[in-house]
Amino acid sequence: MTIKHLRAQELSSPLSKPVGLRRDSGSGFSAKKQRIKRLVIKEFIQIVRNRQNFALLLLAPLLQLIIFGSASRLDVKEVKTVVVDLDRSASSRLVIESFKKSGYFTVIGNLYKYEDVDPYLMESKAVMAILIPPDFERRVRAGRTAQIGILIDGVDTITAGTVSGYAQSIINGFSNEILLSRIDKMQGMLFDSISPRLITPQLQDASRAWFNPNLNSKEFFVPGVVVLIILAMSIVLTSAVIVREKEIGTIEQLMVAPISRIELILGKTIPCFLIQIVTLLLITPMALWMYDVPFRGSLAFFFASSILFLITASGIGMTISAFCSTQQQAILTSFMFLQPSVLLSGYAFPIENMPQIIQYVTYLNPLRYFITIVRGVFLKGVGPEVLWPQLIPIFVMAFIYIGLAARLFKRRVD
Amino acid sequence: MNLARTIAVARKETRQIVRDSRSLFLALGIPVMLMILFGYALSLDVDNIPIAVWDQDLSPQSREFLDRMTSSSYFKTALVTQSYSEIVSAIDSNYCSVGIIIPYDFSENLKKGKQTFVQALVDGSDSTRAGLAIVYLETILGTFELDFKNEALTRQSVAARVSLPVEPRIKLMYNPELQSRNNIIPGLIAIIMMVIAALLTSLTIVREKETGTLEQLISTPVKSNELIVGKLIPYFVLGYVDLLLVYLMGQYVFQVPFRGNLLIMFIVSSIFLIGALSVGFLISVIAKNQFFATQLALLGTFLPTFLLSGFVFPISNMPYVLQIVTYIVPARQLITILRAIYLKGAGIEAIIFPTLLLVVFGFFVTTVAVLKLKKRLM
Repeated sequence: MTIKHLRAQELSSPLSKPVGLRRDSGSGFSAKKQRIKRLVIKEFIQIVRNRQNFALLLLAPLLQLIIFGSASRLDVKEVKTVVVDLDRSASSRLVIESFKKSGYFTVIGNLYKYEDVDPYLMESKAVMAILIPPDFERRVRAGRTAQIGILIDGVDTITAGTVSGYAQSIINGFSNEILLSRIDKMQGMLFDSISPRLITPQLQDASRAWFNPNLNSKEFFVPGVVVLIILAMSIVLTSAVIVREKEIGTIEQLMVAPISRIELILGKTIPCFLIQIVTLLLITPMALWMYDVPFRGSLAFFFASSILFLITASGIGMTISAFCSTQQQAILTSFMFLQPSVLLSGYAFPIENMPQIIQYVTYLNPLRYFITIVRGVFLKGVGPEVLWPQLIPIFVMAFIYIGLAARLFKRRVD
Repeated sequence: MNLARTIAVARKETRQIVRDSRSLFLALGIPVMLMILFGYALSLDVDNIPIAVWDQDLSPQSREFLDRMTSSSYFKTALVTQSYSEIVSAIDSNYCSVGIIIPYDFSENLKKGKQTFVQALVDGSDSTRAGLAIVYLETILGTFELDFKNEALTRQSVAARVSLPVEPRIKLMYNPELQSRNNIIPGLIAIIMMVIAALLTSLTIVREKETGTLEQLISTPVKSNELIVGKLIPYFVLGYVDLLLVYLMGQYVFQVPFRGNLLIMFIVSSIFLIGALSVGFLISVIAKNQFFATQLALLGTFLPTFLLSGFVFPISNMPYVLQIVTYIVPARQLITILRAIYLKGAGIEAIIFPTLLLVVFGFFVTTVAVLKLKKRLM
């Protein structure tokens, strides 16, 4: 074999050691498969044998599903309200009644002075206060404009925005009813010559919310939760298994063993990958069952795209592990990576609200595409015919990260 | 407790932190990254909702109604169309969140005083957005209706006898522009301190275990309380640097109003930090390997801190059992306190109860950690 030949061979398979040095281990496909399989089994035993870790791998996704699934809600209901009714008349009671009937407010206290409201808002015991002045009914009766004071704790902006809209609508509705009854009374007093009838326009909106008609934020968040859990697990787990060998110093032993680097990486990653798939298979039906969210799309498409996404996630984990030499570095780097991925994915914070530059950055985030896929499949029931463009970037990123990891490993070890 | 031995442990730990420059960089970089993300990139404010419009009526009235919708900055017209199916596909592809259809008899019915409808199709998959869109829409419709009514009455020359019966005066307290940044940044202080403190300290003991240096430590005359104090001092300093960093960024980069007492904030934050460090330390004592420790730290501190503290998701929305659980999440207490100090200018009397809970939590966790470590060192 000439030098030229050898070099060509090295170039064509940059991740395997020169063949000539390793005649004993063989380089055929079946031998390769054998070696990877043994490594996978060894790795499996190592993960499962440690009881603490095994319990963690089982319990962590479950716990995450419970906490994530039931805590992430942005619905606005049962807003704690205090009332100061200085009028105590039939009209003022009617106003308070219409707030209660709306179903969005629960009155937690009736106070007798405006000043008493302050500590409630200050200590966050109440979110809203309704203040009705003493001359409320008198003004309404006299045909003048009466006022109602509404104080809203603006700290939680979503609740505050929604609550102020509700309050406005409720008072508008109340106002409208009085106006209509007044006009009705007037109809009889008018001369026919001026106007045959008073015309009072009435408007109504027929809003219909699609895909999630009850506007449950549960349906918005739960599909995303499944994705977050497997993403976090696969990155952290994949990066930890390789860095661990480096930190303890057993990586040298593996390096001198008759296996190529790509076999080593695969042998280390495949068990993690299998664990992720098992987790996914367990957690998806569980999420559907626990939170009663719909699954309207194709199961096959969901799992196929999940596997593709998991490959990308494992690639990220491998890249991190190539960079880091201690587990502390690995976990901090994973965290540094996971945080922006989750926050810039549209899981909780809408991408449309982000500044333009950041919106471009989100295109680099594989989670962004996968969240769109998962929500589409779960809630909208759309399939590959609409979602295929989302798969392409995930696919490309899988290649980039795995390639990067392989390259970094080669450089490190040589 | 021997001061010299404690300092010796602290010095050794400091050297270890400083030498691992990458971890140190990450410990300071993660807070800055989170601040930039939350302060600059993320917002839960719902405005400029893209709408698709099909105006079948094309009358001055329908145009005025649409003008009112888009001039409110809540909505912006992204698509004007003449067909139902185009609206459907615009919503399907996330191009628009709301479709508005004004029927051909809109202005006619308005003039005749008959009931008329505006149809709105809302993408409900993002429920917050959809809910707010509907609230905005109803409010705009309500005022449009009232104004039109008044106008009609004026034309019929009876307006002088009819005035608006009830007018709401709505005042948004503490955060009148409803800037979500003002809400999130005080909360972020708690998140950052918890994560950094617990993630870093969760490895202190277990690392010695895994690399085999714990036996050497045991053979020295150092006692368990000296070990815990000595090991935590450098992380306390690091956590405090993070706190200062986040506070200064909030003040000068994002201009979050600070209405309360600075000293109270720093004192309460220190109490919290001691508790957070002890949680990490306790994890480190329990764990058999570093993988378990980091996972437990993420699961036991980051997750509840992020989700069960009221940071983004209101506690009042959670199931009742979970609401009770939130009381043992120290970040819940700190976030309540920080928001009260930052935005409401609350004094010590308004925050005394959550502060007491923080003290109890810190004391309890530290004691358990010392006891567990004692057992290990024996």
